[in-house]
Amino acid sequence: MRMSIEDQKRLYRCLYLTRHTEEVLSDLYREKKSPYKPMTGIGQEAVTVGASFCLSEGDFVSPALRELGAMLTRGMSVRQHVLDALKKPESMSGGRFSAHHSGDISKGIILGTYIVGSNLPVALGVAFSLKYTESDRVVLAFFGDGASSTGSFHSAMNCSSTMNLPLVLVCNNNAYALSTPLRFQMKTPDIYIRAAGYGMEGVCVDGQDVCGVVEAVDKAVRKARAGGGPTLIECKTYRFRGHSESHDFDDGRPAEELSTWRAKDPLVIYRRFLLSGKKVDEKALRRIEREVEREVKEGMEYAFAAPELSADKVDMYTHLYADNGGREKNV
Amino acid sequence: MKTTISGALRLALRDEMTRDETVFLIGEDIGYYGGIFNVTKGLIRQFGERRVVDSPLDETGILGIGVGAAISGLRPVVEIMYVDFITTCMDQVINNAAKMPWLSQGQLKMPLTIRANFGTGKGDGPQQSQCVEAWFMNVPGLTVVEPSTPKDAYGLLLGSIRYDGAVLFLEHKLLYALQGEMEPDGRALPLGKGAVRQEGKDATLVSCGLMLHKAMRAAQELLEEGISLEVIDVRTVKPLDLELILESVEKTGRLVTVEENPYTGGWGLTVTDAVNRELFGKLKEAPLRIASLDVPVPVSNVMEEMVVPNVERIKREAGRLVRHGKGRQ
Ligand SMILES: Cc1ncc(C[n+]2csc(CCOP(=O)(O)OP(=O)(O)O)c2C)c(N)n1
Ligand SMILES: [Mg+2]
Repeated sequence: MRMSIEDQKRLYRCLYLTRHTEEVLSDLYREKKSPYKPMTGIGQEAVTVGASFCLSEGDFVSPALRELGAMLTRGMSVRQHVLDALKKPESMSGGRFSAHHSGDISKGIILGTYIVGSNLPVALGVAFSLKYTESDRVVLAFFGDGASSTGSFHSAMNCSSTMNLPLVLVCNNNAYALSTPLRFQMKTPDIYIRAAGYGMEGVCVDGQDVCGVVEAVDKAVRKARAGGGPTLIECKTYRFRGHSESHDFDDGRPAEELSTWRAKDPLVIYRRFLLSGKKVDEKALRRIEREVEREVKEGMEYAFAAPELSADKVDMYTHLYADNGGREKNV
Repeated sequence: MKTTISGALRLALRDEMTRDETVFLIGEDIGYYGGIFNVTKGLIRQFGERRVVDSPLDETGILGIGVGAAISGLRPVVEIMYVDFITTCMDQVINNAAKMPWLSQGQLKMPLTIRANFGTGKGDGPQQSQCVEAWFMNVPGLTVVEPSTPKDAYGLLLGSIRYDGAVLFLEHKLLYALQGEMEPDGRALPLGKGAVRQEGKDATLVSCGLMLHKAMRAAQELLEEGISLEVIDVRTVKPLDLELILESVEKTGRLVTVEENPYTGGWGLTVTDAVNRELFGKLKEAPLRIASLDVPVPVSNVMEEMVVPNVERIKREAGRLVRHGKGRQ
C-alpha cells in the first residue's frame, strides 16, 4: 500500500487510540474503579490495527479475543466499547454479551465468540456469502496460536482454499495460549507453513512492525478482492500483559523474554519510523496523542455516566426468536 | 480435616494417581499453571509431565485421547476448562465415549472421567456460564455427576475415576471455595446415590450443585415460617436416585425441583416424570419446577440475577406451593 502522510498519521492515531484505551481501562480495573476486566492486546497493536487498516468500506473483520484494535480501527468508538464493557443498557448488546466479542455489523465488525477458534468458520461463511453475491468485499479473520490447534482453524483453511473464498486469515502468534507456551501447542513454532498443505499462500511477518503487517495484509486483501482466494498471514508478536488484567503482567513468563519483546514496542517502532521520514515531526505526533487522549477521556466519561441497567427495564426476550412472538416464555 | 471443594478434588486426584498408575490427567493449562481454578495445582510437580499433560488448545484432541486411552487400559481424567467448550468435542463424548462399551458388547471399557467447571454467578456470559446437564440427559451411556460439598467432591471423583464407564463430572465454579469437613481416606462414594440434606414433611426439594445450597437456605428460612421442607441432593444427575426421591415425595406429597438450567427440557423433568408416573394419586399438588429463564445467560450481573433462581424465588414459590397449592400466580 502506498500511504500518504495523512494515512500514516491516521495509522499512528489508530495505534495510539488502541493502546491508550486499553491502558486506561486496565488502570481503572486495577485501581478497582471499573468492574471491567480487559484482555488487552497491548504489544500486539501492529497486528490488530495494521491488518484492519488495510480494509475498506464494506469489508468485514472477525475479531478473536484481544482485537480491540481491529474494532476501533474499523470505526467503533471508544464510547461504544466502554458502554459494552460496563454493560450499560445503551451498549450494543444491552448487557447480554461481553465487550471483547461484541460486534457492530454496521461497521463490518462481526460478533465474536468466547469459544476459541469458533469465529473462523463464521468468517468463512461471510466470505462464502461475498463470493456468492459476486461482491468484491473481503473478510479479515483474526486468531491466535492457540486457536490454530482447533478443528475450526482447519475447517476455515480447507474450505476457504478449496472454495477460493475472499478470506484473509491473520494469526496473532503471541507465543502463548493462556499459560500454554508454543512447545506444548505445536511441534513447529511456525504456523504460516501450514498454508502450503491447503494449497494456500502462507506469509510470515514481524508483528511488531506495522509497516510490514500492512504491506502483507494489503497484498492479501487485494488478492482476495480480485478473486485470488485466501491467504494465511502469521504475525510474530507478544502480549505485554497477562492473559487478562486479573493476571500478573509476566503471567509466569520468563523475565528476559518479556523484556526482549518489550523492547520491540510497536508504537515506539512506528513512531521512530515516522520521525525518521522527516515528514512528520514530534509536535504533530504529540498533537495526535493529545487528541486521542481527549477522545478517550470523553468516551469514558460518557460511558461511565450513562445510566445503569435496572431490573425493571431489562429486555430479556427480544430477538431470541425471529418472530418475537411471545412464545419464548415457558416459565 | 477442613478443606475447600477445589482442595478436595485435588486430594482425590492425588490419591487416585498415587494408588493407580493408569490414572493420568490431560487438559489445557492444567500442569504448570495448575488449572484455571487451581484444582490441579502442584500435581505436575508431584507426578511429572507424563501423567499431567498440558495439551494444545484442542478439545477434540484431548477428548479423543481420553476415549482412546480409556479403551486401551488407562484411566484418563480429561479437563474441559469450561463445560461450554465441550460443544467443540461433543462427537467424542456422545458418539464414542457414551456408546463404545455398548456397541462392543463390553469388549471395550470406558473408564473416562471428563471434569469441567460450569455455571452462573461470575458474569462470564452466554458461552461460559451454561448449565448443561440436560444436554446429556438424553444420551444413554453417560453418567453425570455433580458434587456440592468437599466430602462428596472427594468421594464422587474417586468413584468416577474407578467407574468403568464415561462420567461427566461437573464442578460449579462458585462452589470451588466452599469449605467443609472431609477425610482423604481413599473411599469412593457410589455413583447414582442421592442424599437427604435436610428432613422435612411438607414438600420435597430436589436439587444439586449451587442450587442445592440455595434450596437449603430457602428451606431453613421457610422453617422459621412453619414450613418444613425435605431437601435432597441428587449428587448424580444421571442416572438419578429416583428411589430416594420417590420415597421422600410419597411422604411429603409435594415435589419441587430446583434447577440452574433453562426451564424447557431441564433435568428436573426426569424427576417430575417419575413422580407423576409413580405417585400420581398420592400427590397433594402437581410437581413444581423452579429453573432458569429460557434465555442465554447474559453477561450483566443484573440480568444474570434475574435469569437464575435465587433464594427469594425458591422461598416464594415453594412456600406458596405448600400454603396455597400453587407454585406461581
Ligand atoms: C474452545 C475453547 N477452549 C478453551 C478456551 C479458554 N481460553 C480462552 S482464551 C485461551 C487462550 C487462547 O490462546 P490464543 O488463541 O493463542 O489467543 P491469545 O489469548 O494468545 O490472543 C483459552 C485456552 C476457550 N475460550 N475456548
Ligand atoms: Mg496466543
